[in-house]
Amino acid sequence: MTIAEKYYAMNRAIIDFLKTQSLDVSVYKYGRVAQDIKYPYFQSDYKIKDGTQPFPSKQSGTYTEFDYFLNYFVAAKNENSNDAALFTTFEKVKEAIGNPYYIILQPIASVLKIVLTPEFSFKGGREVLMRGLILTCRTVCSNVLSEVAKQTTIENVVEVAEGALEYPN
Amino acid sequence: MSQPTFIRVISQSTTGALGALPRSIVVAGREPIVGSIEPNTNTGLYKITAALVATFEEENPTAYGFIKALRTAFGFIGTTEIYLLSTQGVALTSAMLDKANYNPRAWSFLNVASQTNGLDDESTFLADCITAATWTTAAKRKVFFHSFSVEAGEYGETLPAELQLAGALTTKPRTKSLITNAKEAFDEYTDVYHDPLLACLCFCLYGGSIARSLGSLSDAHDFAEVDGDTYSAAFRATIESNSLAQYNGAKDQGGSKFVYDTFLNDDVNPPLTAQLETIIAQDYIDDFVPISVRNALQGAGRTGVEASYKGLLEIYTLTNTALNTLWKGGVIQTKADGTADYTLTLKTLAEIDALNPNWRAEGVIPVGAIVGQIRAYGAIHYANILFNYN
Repeated sequence: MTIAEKYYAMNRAIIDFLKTQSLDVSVYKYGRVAQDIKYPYFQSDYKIKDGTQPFPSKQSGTYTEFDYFLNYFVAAKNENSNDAALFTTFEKVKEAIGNPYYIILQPIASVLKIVLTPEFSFKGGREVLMRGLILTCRTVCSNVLSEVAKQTTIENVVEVAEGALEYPN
Repeated sequence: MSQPTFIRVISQSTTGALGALPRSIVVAGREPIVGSIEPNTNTGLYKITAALVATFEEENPTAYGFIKALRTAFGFIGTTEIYLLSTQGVALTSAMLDKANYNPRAWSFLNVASQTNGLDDESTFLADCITAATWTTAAKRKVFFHSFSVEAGEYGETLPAELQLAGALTTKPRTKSLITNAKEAFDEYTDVYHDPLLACLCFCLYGGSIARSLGSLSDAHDFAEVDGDTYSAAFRATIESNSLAQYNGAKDQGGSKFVYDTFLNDDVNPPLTAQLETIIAQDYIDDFVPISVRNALQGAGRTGVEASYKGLLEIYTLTNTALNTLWKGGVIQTKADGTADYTLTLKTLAEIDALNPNWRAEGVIPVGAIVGQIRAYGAIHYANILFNYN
């Protein structure tokens, strides 16, 4: 899988987990402008930190380190409500990523570190709360370009070697 | 400086389907062969080993040319084997040679022999030699050699047109002709003429304590069957001016004689062709390098390389390793600074794309992506060494 394919696979793994928990919460991809959306919801993003190495091939792939961002948005009823239950869904997902019983992202990438971003809130028409996860991940991504190079035959190899043998007078 | 060990190295190399190029010799002649020794069905060649020589002579007592060749080949050194190609009395044809070449890697040297090597059978002997010389192309990786007998006489000696400059045999760059009148009485009524090149080739290829060069016939001079010629100075000059080989008449302190040069036939004088030893070395390199590369890949269970610069680097490394091995064996010359005298260059991606822009997509690396310049073995001939004749 390429890094992009892996990103969507991670989104899919979280959606599948939410379904198994009977939670009707959407996971939006990055860049989605939240309009007329139903709270709570997740929005994810990714950023490659290191994804290059010399002589990659289709067989070896490219060793890639990246951050996967998962932000959770939820709306409180009013300023005086008890928000204790609002983040239960977020906590479930966080645990499912780190809990050895679930480790829902493991087949796609190795999660090395889980960092929580600070909670914040802002006031508009209603109070929206957000919490986020930053997952430091490593994986091996396949390459597309190496598909271009085909295998030669041994006869071709021998011809090239023979063609190099010249004797000056 | 040249290495003295090359010919010994290739003589001892293992032969086989993927081994080194074999050094075997085929002697062709018109004399019929009868008796218990059977030719190979596919090649038509009679394989003679030392144990079969006596049987051959007993069953073919008048095949003087072949008997002489066998005695020369097995007389002193003990060649492991030699192949005979009998035309059964008719002219040698390229079809016969094609058949003999059924296994192209089975032999490397071709010789034509008769009882008098052209003295009494000039037209037929030279016709067979021309057939053999024409057939022996560079692509076949073989060398044709023969001796031609010219009797020394008080009225002067002459060379046939075929052996003069621009002649049918002197224009063949894979041919080596030596002029000699050395002979021996086979019995009371029969003389047979020597083939010193055969003797010297056997000596160089199959043994001998020095065996540094085909030019050092003083080595081969130890053969009981081989002796020098007795030509006048004028005829020696004639032979030399036609770029042909001969005993040069000089002797070392032991009384041994030398071949004047070992350059292959050329239609100009001095000859521009390579030494016989250099041609042998080039054939050996041409054979060793591809087989070495092929063995390395097949031994690792590979069916090829990636058609990319990475795959090309792999071929370059394998080729360079093979050439380095050959240099250590003395097959490639050494430069004054002590390093191997060859260059191997990998072209740039742009240069390779110019050969074929679609080579990666097609999966075929263009020939010429790697280029080399190799200076193969060159012998130091005794003729070039100053002797003390006091």
